[in-house]
Amino acid sequence: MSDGPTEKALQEFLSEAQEIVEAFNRDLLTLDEERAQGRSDPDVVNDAFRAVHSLKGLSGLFGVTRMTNLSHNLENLLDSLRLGRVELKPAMLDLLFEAVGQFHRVIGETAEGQAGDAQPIDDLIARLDAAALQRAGKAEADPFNGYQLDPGLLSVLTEYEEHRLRENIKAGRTLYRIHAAFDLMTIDKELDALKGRLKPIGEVITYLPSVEAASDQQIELDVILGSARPLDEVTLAIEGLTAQVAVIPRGRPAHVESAPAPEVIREPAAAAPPKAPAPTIDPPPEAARDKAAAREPHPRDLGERDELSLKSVAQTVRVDIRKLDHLMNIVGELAIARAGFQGILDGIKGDRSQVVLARALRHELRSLGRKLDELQAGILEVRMVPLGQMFDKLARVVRKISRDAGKEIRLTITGADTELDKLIVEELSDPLMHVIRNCIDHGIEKPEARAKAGKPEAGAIRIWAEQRGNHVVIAIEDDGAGLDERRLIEKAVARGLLDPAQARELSQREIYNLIFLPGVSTKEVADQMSGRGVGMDVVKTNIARLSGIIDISSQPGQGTRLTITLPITLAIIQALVVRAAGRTYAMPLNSVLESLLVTHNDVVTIERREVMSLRGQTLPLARLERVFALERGANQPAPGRQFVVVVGLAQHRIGLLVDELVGQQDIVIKPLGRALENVPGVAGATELGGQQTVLVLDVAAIVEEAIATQVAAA
Amino acid sequence: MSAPFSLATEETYLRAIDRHEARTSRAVLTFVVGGETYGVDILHIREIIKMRTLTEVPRTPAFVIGVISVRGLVIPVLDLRARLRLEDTPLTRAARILVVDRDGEPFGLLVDAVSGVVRFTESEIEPPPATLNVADGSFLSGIGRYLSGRRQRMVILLALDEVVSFQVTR
Repeated sequence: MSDGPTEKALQEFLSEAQEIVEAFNRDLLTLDEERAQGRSDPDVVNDAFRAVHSLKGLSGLFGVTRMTNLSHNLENLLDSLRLGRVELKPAMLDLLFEAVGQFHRVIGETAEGQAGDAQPIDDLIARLDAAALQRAGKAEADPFNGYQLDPGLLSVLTEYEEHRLRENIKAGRTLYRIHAAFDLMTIDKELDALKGRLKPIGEVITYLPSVEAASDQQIELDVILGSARPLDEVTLAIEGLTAQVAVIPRGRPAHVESAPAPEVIREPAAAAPPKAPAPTIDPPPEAARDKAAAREPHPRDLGERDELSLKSVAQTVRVDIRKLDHLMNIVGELAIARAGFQGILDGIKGDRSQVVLARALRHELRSLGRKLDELQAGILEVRMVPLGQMFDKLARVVRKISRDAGKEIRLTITGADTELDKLIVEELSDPLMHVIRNCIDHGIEKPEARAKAGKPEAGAIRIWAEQRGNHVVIAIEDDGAGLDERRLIEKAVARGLLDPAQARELSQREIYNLIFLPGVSTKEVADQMSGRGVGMDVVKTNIARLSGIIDISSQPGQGTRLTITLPITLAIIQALVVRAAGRTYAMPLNSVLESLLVTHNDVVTIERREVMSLRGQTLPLARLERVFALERGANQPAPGRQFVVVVGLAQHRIGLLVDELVGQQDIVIKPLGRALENVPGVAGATELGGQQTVLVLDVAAIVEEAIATQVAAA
Repeated sequence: MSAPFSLATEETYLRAIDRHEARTSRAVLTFVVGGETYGVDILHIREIIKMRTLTEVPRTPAFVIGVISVRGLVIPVLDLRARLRLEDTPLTRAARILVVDRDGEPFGLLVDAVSGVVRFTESEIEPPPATLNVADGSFLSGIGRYLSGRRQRMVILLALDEVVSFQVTR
């Protein structure tokens, strides 16, 4: 195709755009947080500006006009913001967050080849433009607050640098001049090192070539730093570098020979420069600056910085997750081939004449096995992504919902670098979104109620994640009103899910877990956000589909905590291989809690349903052969002793009766194809070696069915 | 020097006709199911494999006799006799599984025996007879007639899309 970008290039663009928008969203969240604390980091505004700038360039290249237009106008607003022409207000942040939403929409529509609606974007653009016009308050009478800055200096500062200079003075920081000499060959690294040391203690406003004579091999720069720290700390920070620091005196003109000020190209924006020709910072002669600009390999210009960042982007490769699935399949095949060799080895083991061959084969097999494990681990690692991306999305949702609900929320996130399989992260975002909504809508009380209860008016939501062995635990905690036990019981009884007599025997944990039953957490009246019909039962089902376990605990008046435990990956799982009525099945080990050997006597019948007693609790049983209506052949009589595999879905436990436990094995689950993908109770199939294909059980579905029949019978 | 032009010979005529035939004709794989001869367009056939151990899948229609693993893919196998509601005859060693492709999705079809490949031109294929009832007729896309030696033979062409689409219900 010559008339447009290729499909592949477009996909690349869309995923890159997605990443940029997410980074932009992160910047906005940081800005919001800082604004609440009365701070503002200019680097964050710059990052946001740069993100939008890149989006504009990229989308222009691919003819995604709506994105280009929106980026262009955003860029204007952010430019005004970073130059201090406008002030960051909550309303403006709302607009910026709205832009993130629009970008997501455009990306989604472009991916599906839809033209989409331009109207919402045009509306947003109009509002962005209006916001950019609201100038900040009038400049103060003396923006330089007694600093006597040389007009020549002001004239070489860019508008941005001048704005930052004024901001630093306004914030009462001390201005330092750091004179440093750099080798021409290594200036870029050394300058970065210097900036790296200065960053924690202040802000580098600008750096200018020094007027003091430099040798041919060296270049000397004056770095202007704004910092709230005393001189000795600044001196300490640059210790070991060839640099000297001096405080730029305030109000007391120092007599330094002034070079003739270069032609003023742009008027200093705010106030007229002080009349006294008393520069404390030397303006560089034109020539020196030009020379420096020509040689300086580290540009200060935003546009050129993009080029630098492009280089680092080139270090990473985007991969379609299906390609990784394919590689994983191949690894699975290799493991089967290896098992085949093992079979050959086992076959010749007893043969005396083959001792040497057997030893060599065993040796090679061992090293092949090790390499295979490494390969498998390597591919799994590539699939891992940090949870941070999803948490950022959640933070945006928290912000929006809390504003809509008129509640103030303080969100803390820890463990954003915890990694999970990409597919799991994707599937997790909707359920988590819903949990967060519930926290804000129902968990956190209105500010007045909170004040009455002696809590801070702002509600707190804490999301944390951490890895525990092969699992990741994600918890969502709020400091709201907690769950209402009585209401949960009432609802469950009203829905016929629980009879009142049963209700009295429930433990507190069991009562809280009623929230996961269908219909219990659903609101009577549909509202705009949560809507009707989607409740915690759906959240539970989605988590269970990922082989996850969800649990809830609560303290009345103190808050609620929801814990989700998930396996790190679904690509290769450990399975328990079982046999029932002559058939072999694999069960994902992460849903198996324990297995026990039982005899007929252990199984009792209550209301025609089989149960057994396990550590004082009643465990409902289900026979796999009955669940699947398997016919027993004449040569497959039910053994006198059977095994109970205790499996769990969310808070439910049932015992699955099987004939035999074969053992544990790592398996790769393969889909049964589109025609059979919906067979209830079957998650897929796997090869066990020796060309034996067995079905992998969908334990969650089986447990769900068992519970549903229990509920129906009750 | 060669002649400025050449006359068409009988050979070039025939070649041209052959080419035309090849363009408009369809190659059909024929096979026997329950004593009748059926055919599927050869473009839909991925491979033909011998009968092997099947892994049965519960809660599926009776004609889904299980899954097999072929080159790393797990594919469902349908018993064509059951699917077409034909007489159940015992399988012999001639039984084969045809691995067919429907929109990139592979399926296995168990047949009694594979016969061969026959070419048909469009004119040799007639629509399915109206006398067939709808349930059976929906699996047929037409009837192909051809000469084998001196005898006129008939092949029932399968509507593959219909044969492999079925619902797994809860």
